[in-house]
Amino acid sequence: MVHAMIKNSYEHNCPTPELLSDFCDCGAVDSDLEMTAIARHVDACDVCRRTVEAYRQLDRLVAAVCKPPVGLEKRILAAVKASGQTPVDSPWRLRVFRLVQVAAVVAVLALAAAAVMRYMQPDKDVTLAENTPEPTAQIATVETDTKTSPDSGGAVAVDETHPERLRATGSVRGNDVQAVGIDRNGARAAAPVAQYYLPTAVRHVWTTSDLQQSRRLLDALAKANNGVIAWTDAGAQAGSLTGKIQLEDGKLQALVDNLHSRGLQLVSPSLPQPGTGAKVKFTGQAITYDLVLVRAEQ
Amino acid sequence: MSKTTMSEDRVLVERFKQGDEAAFEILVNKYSGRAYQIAYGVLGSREDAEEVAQDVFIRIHRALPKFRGDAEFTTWMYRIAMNLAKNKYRWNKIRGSKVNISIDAPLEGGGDGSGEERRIDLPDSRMTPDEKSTFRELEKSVRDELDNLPDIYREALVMRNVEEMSYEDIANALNCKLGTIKSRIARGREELRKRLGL
Repeated sequence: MVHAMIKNSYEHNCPTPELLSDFCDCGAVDSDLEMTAIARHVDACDVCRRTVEAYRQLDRLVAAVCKPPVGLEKRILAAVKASGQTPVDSPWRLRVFRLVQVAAVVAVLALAAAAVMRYMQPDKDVTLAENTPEPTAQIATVETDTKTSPDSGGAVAVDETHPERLRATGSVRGNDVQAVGIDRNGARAAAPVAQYYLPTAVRHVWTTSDLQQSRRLLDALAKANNGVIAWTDAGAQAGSLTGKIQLEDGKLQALVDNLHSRGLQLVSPSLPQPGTGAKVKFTGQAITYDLVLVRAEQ
Repeated sequence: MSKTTMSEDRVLVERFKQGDEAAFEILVNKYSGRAYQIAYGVLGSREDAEEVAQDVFIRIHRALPKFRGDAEFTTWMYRIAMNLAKNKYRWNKIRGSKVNISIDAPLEGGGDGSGEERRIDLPDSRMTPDEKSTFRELEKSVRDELDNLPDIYREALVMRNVEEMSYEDIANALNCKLGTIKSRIARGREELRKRLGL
């Protein structure tokens, strides 16, 4: 190793600058033997001694140049304080914080799931409707002999007292009646009772034997609920009336129940249906209710 | 780095984790200078180096509760200082600014509101006024030449002069092999010696 050092010298058989640099940093030289050899050489060689002295002087100068300014610690601590960080989190605080984090995540997931339920379930019919070409129609005839109750799966409710065929005239969107008669045998399996949310907009088609009487009835019911139905008379001549009102979800259920009990027939399958109050979760949200009254020919 | 120091650091870190803010102050007093010097080695600017040093300890204060102690505190701190300094260097490069301040010039605003003048202390207070003057001139030349050194040499050379920073620590902080660090320090020294005519 020593011979290698000497052989690698670049002038006067001196150690390379790298070895001299390592020599300055005591311990950086690979072996004691090498260290001793360099030390002897530096003692004897003016050039190398001056180089080593220069390196050491440079080290002192560099250290002086890089010396931290006075008061650095104080300013750092002030900066840490000013950075607005809270005091150090102790383990129990960290644990509580993490618990809160987990609880927050669970809550968010639960809310997301609830939102999905809310928009998926009631809109099942809507989704189907959206996938169906529309409007189909001039529904001339709506026939149903189903006797399913609303609780039996959401088919159109037909009052037991009016099992006969209904004939509707006037312009009705096909989607509003597409589910009518789905279960001709009335054999649909009972769906588990669930809590649904109503969508923010509901459209129902009702059949009635007397358009104007039903309109007055609806106006009276709306007034009782501090609301007003905005009617569009465009289709009156053709045997239909269209109205719109905003109601709380609970009041909408009550309105549907009321209309049904007064002999109007709800043709649309979407919630709320007469008597579905137990299935629906009421939140007090406002719902835009579009209703179409269609004159029924009996 | 001695084993005693490492053990002391671990105790301080644990105390800090238990909520003892005084332990953090001890760590700052102990290592702020090194953070500053590392940053200075990269940036070649006293103001930027102090800014980085402050940022280093702000980060440490934030992250220390999660510090697992897989590495030594100093190794961790060197890495943070190095990364922040390099980020700052890149930022300066993008802005095209390199602030050069006279070594004797007081820094504006102490940050602590004291307005105290910050000067680099002389290494030997026994110097005569003439010697001091000569030393100051030499210091200025060193500073200028140090700034003009290739970055890789300056970083290694400055770190070599950081108290108690071993070749291994430097290699670790710069993510280089030990041989590379030795070589850079040697070349940096030689280059600086030649430039200063020593």
